[in-house]
Amino acid sequence: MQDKTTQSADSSDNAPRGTAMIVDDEATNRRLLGAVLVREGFHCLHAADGEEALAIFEQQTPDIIFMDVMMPGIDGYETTRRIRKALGGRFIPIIFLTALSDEQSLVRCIEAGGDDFISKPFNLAILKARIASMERVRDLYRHLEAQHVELSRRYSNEQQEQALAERIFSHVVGTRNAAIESLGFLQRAADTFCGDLILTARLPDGGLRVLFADFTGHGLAAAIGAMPVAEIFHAMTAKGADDLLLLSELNRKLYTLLPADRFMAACLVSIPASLQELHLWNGGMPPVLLRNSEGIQEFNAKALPLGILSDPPEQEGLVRVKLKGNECLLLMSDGVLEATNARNELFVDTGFDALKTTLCTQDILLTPLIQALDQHCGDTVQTDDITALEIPITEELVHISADADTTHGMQAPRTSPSLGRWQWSLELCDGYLGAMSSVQGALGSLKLLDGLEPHIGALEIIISELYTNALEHGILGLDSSIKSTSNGFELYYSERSRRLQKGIKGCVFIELIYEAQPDEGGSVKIKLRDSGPGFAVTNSGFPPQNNLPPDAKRPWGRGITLVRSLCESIRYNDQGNEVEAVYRW
Amino acid sequence: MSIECKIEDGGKRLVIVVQGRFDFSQHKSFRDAYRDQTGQVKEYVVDLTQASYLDSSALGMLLLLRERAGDENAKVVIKGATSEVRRVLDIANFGRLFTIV
Repeated sequence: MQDKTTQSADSSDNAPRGTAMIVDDEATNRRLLGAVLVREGFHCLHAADGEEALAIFEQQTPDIIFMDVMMPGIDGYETTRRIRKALGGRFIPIIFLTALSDEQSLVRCIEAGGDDFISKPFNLAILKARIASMERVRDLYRHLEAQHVELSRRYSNEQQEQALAERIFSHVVGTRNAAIESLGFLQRAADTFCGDLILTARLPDGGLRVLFADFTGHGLAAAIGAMPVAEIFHAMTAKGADDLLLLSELNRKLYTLLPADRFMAACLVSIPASLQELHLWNGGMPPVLLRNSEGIQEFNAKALPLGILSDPPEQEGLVRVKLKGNECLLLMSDGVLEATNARNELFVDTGFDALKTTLCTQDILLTPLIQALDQHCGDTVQTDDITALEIPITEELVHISADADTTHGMQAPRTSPSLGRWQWSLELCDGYLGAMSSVQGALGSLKLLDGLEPHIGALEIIISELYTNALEHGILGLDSSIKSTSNGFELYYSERSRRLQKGIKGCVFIELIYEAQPDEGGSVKIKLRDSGPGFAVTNSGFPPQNNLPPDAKRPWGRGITLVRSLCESIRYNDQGNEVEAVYRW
Repeated sequence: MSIECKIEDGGKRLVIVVQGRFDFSQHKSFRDAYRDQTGQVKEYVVDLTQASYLDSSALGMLLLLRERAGDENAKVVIKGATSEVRRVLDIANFGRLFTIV
């Protein structure tokens, strides 16, 4: 009866080669094989028939099984089939021990799931050799299985990380964007999510600023960089920082944060509310297309991507473009240019030039781009993210008398202004003349603008325009009519830079007086005075007299017209170097 | 082999030849090409004549080489870039960081 039990003389500790299960209805056979195996270093389990073998197998998993064929009840073939089924993908060598010698029986052994067979009575040397061979195969399987488990675990981790990156990107980075319905947007991610970044924010004067960027790398690597970039972009724009200052700060942050081989290619576009001009900076991105009434103008990248050099971006990289109306901007990531077709040709080498010609006469640019792209790519799977942004430059972009939210780009609690008045003045002289910040920048932290949020945009426009006139015309003596010629715009601004850099002597004095009015009204009186010689009344360009109608032939006067439409009144003194405007609500 | 290197000028110039696609799969090979240099090299030349494609990870690899060369006061020259490869280098304005011939 002892033979029927699963016990054996030694314990598993003395069995370096593991556990062997012997299934044979003859006790003598079991004893014989058992003795051999124990000597070989196995711990043996005995089963007298198939049922018992299956019962043992439910409790323990042996490392190798020796199966007799002819047994009462379930025979060896059936037992083996059931064990194999229970094992699933796991592997245990099963060696048949059979007195049968006919070819068919032997083939049946393998078909039933056995790995090898040994004829009874067995040859000791052959048995040992075959056991060793089976163990090699088994160990290989185990190794493979362990690798598979590890690989599955890592893959699952990576999927989780991608999901996290996607969430961060869309919730943390995208939600502070100013919603502008007139923008057209195309995004096709190559992977689970797109590493290209689009940020939009309102300028303090109600205009628009857009950052269109492409990080090296995808997934989590890109998401990490996007977070500080979004923070800086929104915070600095809300405080009225100018383009170059913002770019410098972004560069500084990315230079410190990212390793040497990672950077962010980007386009920055700022469109002030007056819609007279736009500012464009392209660092390492494909050319930005501007469709105007004359055709397509391309703005190539003049600057390095951000985060590579510690030096801040240069003034030269920032382009000012005069706007005449009826313009549309199109920005693209390099995935667009490098989109491949079935013949591995790039879009930039095939359909792109034709597309540019088509775009010259189109109102909407994104639809023809998508059509051309789809025609080129067909069914070919793309390996890079494809992102494009269309900015039609129309009144719809601008949001002057806005709610608190859009001005700041964030949900801000609405407060009421206090009852009373405040007066603030500033005088900038000589080297500080170029340093005029925005009203938001100057007064925001003093909390003087709390409750006045709907009017900050208008105030920015008014003060910016009046200050610009005081500085450029009053002190620097620049002639606005230069701006009307074809390259006059660039000439004007490079001359402006030159004169500022040369060092100019002069002062501009600014004073703001706020007074609360009944019924939640208020007024801001704005006074500017410059130390320039003023203007003779007969000067045809500037200043506009109080009762002169706006002149469409003089586009540079558009800014003052806008100011006049916002203010209750605007008066110049006789000399032309002092102006007082009143904004009331 | 997609990356081959040659030593010239008595050890003072290391030429790294990139064949085919210069992308992330070349990362290790590219780094191995210059990693064990002992500082004798005064000029690194990246030969892209046979390179068919260059992406942003390749730009990153060039930046790593540049950083290494900077530590050793060595120069980095990129030569032989044609059409597609040249286009990517130009858009990124890498002519400001490397001598491109």
